[in-house]
Amino acid sequence: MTFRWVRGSSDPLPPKAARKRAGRRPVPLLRAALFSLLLAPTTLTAQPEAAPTESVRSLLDQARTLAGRNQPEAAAEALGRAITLAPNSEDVLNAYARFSLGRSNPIQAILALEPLARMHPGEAEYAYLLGVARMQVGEMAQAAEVLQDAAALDPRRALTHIGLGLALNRVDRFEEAREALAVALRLEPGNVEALATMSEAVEGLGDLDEATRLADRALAVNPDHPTALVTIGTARVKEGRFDEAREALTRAVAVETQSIKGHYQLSLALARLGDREGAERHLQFSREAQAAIEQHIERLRAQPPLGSRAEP
Amino acid sequence: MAALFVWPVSALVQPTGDAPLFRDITESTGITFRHNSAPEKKYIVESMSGGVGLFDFDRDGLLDIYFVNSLTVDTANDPESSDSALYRNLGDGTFRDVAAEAGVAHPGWGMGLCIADVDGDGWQDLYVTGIGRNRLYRNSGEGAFTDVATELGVAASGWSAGCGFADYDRDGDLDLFVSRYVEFDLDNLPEFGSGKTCEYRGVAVQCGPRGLPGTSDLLFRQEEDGAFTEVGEEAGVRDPDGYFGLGIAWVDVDDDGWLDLYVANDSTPNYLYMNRKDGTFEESGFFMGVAVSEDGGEQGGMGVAVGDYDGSGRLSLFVSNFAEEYNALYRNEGDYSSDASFRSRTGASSLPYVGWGTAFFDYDNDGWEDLVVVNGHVYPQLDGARLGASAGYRQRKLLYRNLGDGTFEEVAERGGPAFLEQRVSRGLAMGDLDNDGRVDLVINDLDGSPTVLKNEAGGGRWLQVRLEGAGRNTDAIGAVIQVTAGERSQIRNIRSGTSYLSQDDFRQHFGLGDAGIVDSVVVTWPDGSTTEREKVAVDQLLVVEQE
Repeated sequence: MTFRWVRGSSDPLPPKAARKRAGRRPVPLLRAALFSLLLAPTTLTAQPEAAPTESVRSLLDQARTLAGRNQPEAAAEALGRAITLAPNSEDVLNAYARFSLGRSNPIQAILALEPLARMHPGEAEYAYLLGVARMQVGEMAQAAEVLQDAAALDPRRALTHIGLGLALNRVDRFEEAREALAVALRLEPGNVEALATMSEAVEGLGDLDEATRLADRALAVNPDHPTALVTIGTARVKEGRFDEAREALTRAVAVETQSIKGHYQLSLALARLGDREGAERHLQFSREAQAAIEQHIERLRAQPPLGSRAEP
Repeated sequence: MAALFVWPVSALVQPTGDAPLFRDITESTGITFRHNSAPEKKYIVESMSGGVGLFDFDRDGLLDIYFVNSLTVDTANDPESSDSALYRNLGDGTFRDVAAEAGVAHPGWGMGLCIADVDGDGWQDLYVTGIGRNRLYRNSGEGAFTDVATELGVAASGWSAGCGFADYDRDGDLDLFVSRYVEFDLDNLPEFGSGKTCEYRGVAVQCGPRGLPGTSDLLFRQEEDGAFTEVGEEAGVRDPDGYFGLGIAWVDVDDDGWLDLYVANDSTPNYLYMNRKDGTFEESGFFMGVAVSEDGGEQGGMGVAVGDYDGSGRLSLFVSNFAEEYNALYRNEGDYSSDASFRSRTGASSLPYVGWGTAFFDYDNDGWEDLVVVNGHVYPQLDGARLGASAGYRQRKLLYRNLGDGTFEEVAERGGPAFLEQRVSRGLAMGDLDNDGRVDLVINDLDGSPTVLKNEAGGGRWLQVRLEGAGRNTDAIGAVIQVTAGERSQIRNIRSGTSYLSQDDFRQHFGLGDAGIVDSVVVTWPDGSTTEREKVAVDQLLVVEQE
């Protein structure tokens, strides 16, 4: 299958996108810390310097070398030339995808990972990376689809099940998320991300006591885990325990300042406590965080291909 | 003393075991209406129409049906090319289309409708929303209607969607709210499939609503001479942000005797305008907990249902949303609402579907309001595409049985084949078409023929209540009825403009389980006065007149 620069879901936006972007509302992206945990190693390892030629192999070697020398722009250019020469090469696409992810360019990564996953449907790693990239651009439903494929291909990898659970939570498929996270916890019983994400799923299903227990386990490992704190806060709001909700949610948004849900639930708690000013402030933060995510996705889509002269 | 009228009792029907709860009687009714829509839906204007209304336009005691039809981009300049239909109930299970002779067949590019006796002459009038202009068909009382929208100042412009009459200022006459959707220029159409706001999962689809400019909403205050003045801005309901307004509901959320206004906005936060009792409103959707999802994110916002589903004595809101978004059930806690979508067990099952018409109604007369949602996607291009958890273009319906503990069980399979049939549904109206004490359903589909579902669920005792208001609000729109039988107390409110761009029967139905008598019926009229009746017989239509 030929690798073509086709317009697809990950293509850059037209220059003047209106206030509202395509289709659905923006979905909160992965927290930076969690994302780094989920990513496979993406940096190209350094290689002894080779004489530059136009062969694909030499371009890949060049890219590795330049990356090792902390010359990402030049490395990107070499990769860009490689992919032009060999758009269907697994090695090239793989390198392109990982480099893109490492450069926070998930749109370009997806363009490489989609054909990789199609050409190598038995490779769990490609499906996993594609899922991660999709999550980075807020395409949670699509991320869940490919992460399900990845989990089926390599069911022993806890990170995959955690990522799947995260994506499913984002699209409110809490029962499926719980199932995926249960697998993750069987593989790694004390995994704090699995515990916190599971607490979110269970809270979504309405079992507030169990959600609190799970969140508490996560907080025992990481007292400032924002997902666990938001879970507890949301549960307290539902229970009418607004003082406790305020405490948990205030801590959550102090750690994850761009948490749409954290700020929104905090605004509800403050409104119930009669703090209208505080409620309006955190509602504004929530709306601003949502707008920031929209703008972030637009910037991602506007990024030029790797190696192009327009790339910053 | 208010007069008391008794309607002849219909036979009590015993439960029918495993028989379907509803029977599709469309064919036998003689209804041949077909909604007009372009097959490819290349433009958003071709995906949103389909209101349906139940009202007794000729006052013969039988519910008649109005189906709204629409045009397409290709037929936009030929308003006579599609016919809306007014089906007169003949009382024998059949209906006859009288729209042409009644003068209501060609409202133009129709979207939805709402009903009210606007001039207080005792005959229900018909307001039809649409693209370009709206119609106010005044009922002559002789089987004919006259469009007086321009004359009375309610013709509006642009793309009107939802509507509802209510006496928001309690001056005795009915005012009108109209939600509006997006700005759409037929001479400058957005290019199908072009740009990020014109694709869905990588598939080229119609553009919008995101990416298109929104349009403000309208509030028409009726003046003493019967004409209307648009006061949306001074009243605080103008929608300055231009959200994409669709379904609406007039409902007294805080039980202070003044009607508040809820507007479901597509892909933008919903509005809850709290009535300040001085002719103005304060938008409080976010802080009342009814604007967005639990995560703080906007949802599709199409249809609105109102009901006291949990027996709390407070009216909760239910909003139908887009695919991969749950339908939102906002439980009224008194001073605010909480998102009970997943706790109620209605959320998860709704995720694959794009929801539209919806209603709380007691289909089995057990005294607990059940819930129905009709579905259908907007993008026919999705057939054949990998959609993940989302259903295809044509979708089944959802029917939820209220378990009486704040939760529901999805029972569409028991509803009958019509509930599982894959359709592209839009408007829904509920009402007792044959006066047998069970609430029937009428659904207007975007593509093709509608569906008339006769309720054969059997079940318990029932009471229907029809109000006759004093003054110009002859249907007592805005009134609240409380029925108590034994330990159970239920409330209903009279609303103009329900579901998705549709109109339910004004008569209010109460399932009573095995109660042998109704202990009390208390009516709180729109002006705040009350009427009470005690020891009311079951299985009848009770007519209550305001003094």
